[in-house]
Amino acid sequence: MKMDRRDFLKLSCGSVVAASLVGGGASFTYAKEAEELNLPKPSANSPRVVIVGAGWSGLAIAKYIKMGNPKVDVVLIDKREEFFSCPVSNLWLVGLVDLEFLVHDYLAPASKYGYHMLSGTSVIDVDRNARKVYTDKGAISYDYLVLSPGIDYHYEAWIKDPKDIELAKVRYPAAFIPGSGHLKLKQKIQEFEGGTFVVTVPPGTDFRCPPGPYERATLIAWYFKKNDIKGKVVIVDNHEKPPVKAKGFQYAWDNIVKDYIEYYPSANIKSIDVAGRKILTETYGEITFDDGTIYPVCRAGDIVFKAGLVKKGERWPTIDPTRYNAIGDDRVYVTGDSRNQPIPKSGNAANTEAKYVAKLILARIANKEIDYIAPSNICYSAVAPNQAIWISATYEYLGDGKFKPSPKLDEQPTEANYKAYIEWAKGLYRDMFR
Amino acid sequence: MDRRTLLKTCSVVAIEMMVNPSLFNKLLAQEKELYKAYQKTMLVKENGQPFSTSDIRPNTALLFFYPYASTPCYLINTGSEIKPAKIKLNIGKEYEFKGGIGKNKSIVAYSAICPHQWAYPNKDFSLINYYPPTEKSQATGKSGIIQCCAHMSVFDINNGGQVLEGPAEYPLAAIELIEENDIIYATGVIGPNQFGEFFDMYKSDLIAQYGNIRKAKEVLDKTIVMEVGKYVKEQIKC
Repeated sequence: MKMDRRDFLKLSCGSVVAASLVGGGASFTYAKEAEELNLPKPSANSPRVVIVGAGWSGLAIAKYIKMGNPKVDVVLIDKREEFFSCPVSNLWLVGLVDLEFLVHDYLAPASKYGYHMLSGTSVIDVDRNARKVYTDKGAISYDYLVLSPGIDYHYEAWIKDPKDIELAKVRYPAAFIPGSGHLKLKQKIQEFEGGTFVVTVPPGTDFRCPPGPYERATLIAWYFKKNDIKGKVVIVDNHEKPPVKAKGFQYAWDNIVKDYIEYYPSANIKSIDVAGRKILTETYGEITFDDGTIYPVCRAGDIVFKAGLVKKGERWPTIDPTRYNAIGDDRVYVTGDSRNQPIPKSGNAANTEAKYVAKLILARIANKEIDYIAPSNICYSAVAPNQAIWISATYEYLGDGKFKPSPKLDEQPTEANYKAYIEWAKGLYRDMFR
Repeated sequence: MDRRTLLKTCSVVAIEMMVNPSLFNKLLAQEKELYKAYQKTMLVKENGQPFSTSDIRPNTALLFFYPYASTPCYLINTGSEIKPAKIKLNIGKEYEFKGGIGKNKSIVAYSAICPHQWAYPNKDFSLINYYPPTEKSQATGKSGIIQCCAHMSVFDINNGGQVLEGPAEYPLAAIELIEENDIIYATGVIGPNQFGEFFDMYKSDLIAQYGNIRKAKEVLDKTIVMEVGKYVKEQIKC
């Protein structure tokens, strides 16, 4: 095969970057050889904001930066070719909405608001000194960088053997990062013949969509009941009760899916024997299961680690709690579910936060600062078709990384709440995609 | 600004426009976005008779479409005077809200398209609704407001539709009403309207409902004022 200089550089970049995964920062000596992608700017001196991750956070930041100042060059990068919504996906798992409701194209907003959309592109590394990100297509220089890659799973907290982790991923996918896990889980639910179907809940509240596992468990139980499947959903949870909407879920378990759900609170999960289908808990000993979904502990997306923003032994980055930038580096921001503030890792919080971060970056481009605007959140959960509950919260920053939430709740499942849930999602999709 | 400065500014703008003709449109758009005169449209009752200020009871909201056949508005009689107000947007711009009309200056109208993420009253249900002083929102504890339950934005109808709480960044657009010989006319829209976004976001839905987008965008000579429940099956309040 004939290889010209360009091919050679591309290839060597690929292999060097692969090496960098092991070798860390030292690999930049070679990675600097990667060719800069030719992405035209609105004008030669336009500042460039590169956003890694086109989820709820990244999409909204890209849009609102361009709306605020079209002269800023925005490059939004995602490894996926299309958007697949995690919020509302529990409804899709049991056939209450179709796939078209969740899947959206990246092209319409890129075209409307005029940002570069590099879908199908993986970001492999970040060089904060050189202000460059390295993708599988080439390097991109930035003036400001936003890392909004969402979550990754941290199976290691419960499963030590890498082979077992791999087994858990393919057999009992967590399905809180949209993709094959969701497709596989839907198939499992549809084909379940009976027995126990386990749903694990990560400890703490630093996991994606804190009510999500409870909504999912409740809807799967409803699905079993509706289809007369002689099965039970078993929720294994370290919390003593769901950390949000506990009364609403309990109402559903007592009244809507009674006999189809079994709740193991304060379980204190020690480990999971994936091949043996056993969860070892401190409180209940071994809990066996026939099938299910193992939602493990979460951590920030991989690229946040590669950017050197996470301290050793931690799972979330050290960032300014009101400015979102890396400590000592106001050119790099972490937003969405990868942030470390004690704000729920939810689509709605990411959306409200994104509008503030867009304004903040625009202000900083203009050498200005703006007042802090705390995110807000509304989170609906369905417990059956046409039955939903909700919580909303605003937050006040108390200083020292602490926030005070002011929650409001409606824990009585109603049809009106369910309609509001659907419209809530449609509104957010409209904001991101139309 | 003195005459000399004005002339200087005008000539600079004129030169700019020669270089960049789109600047003129842009300037116009910037001016227009906070007030736009539309067709003078007579509000009528369902029987076709003109709608007068005495046809709406205090603490009531009615529905009509303006300025387009598909863009809903609430006509509200608060029962007490609504004074003019200066509305300041968070982008730094200001505009004048003209206050209420009628004997008590208590009648106002607002676009019912939520400026946050564009929820609006459709035939099946409405999440954006009027809460009279006698009805407190369960979610926010507020009354005498318009509230959108999709994402909990609350708007002050006594003060030009300004945001009281929630994620909306813009006020509700107010409908300019005038009274001539005891008949109410709508003549324009005050504040940042959401019609461009509305037609963009809901294109498929509007084509399904109206047959084509041209019909949805029809500008009306007369618009029927109706009880909300006659158009919307369910008003979802929270």
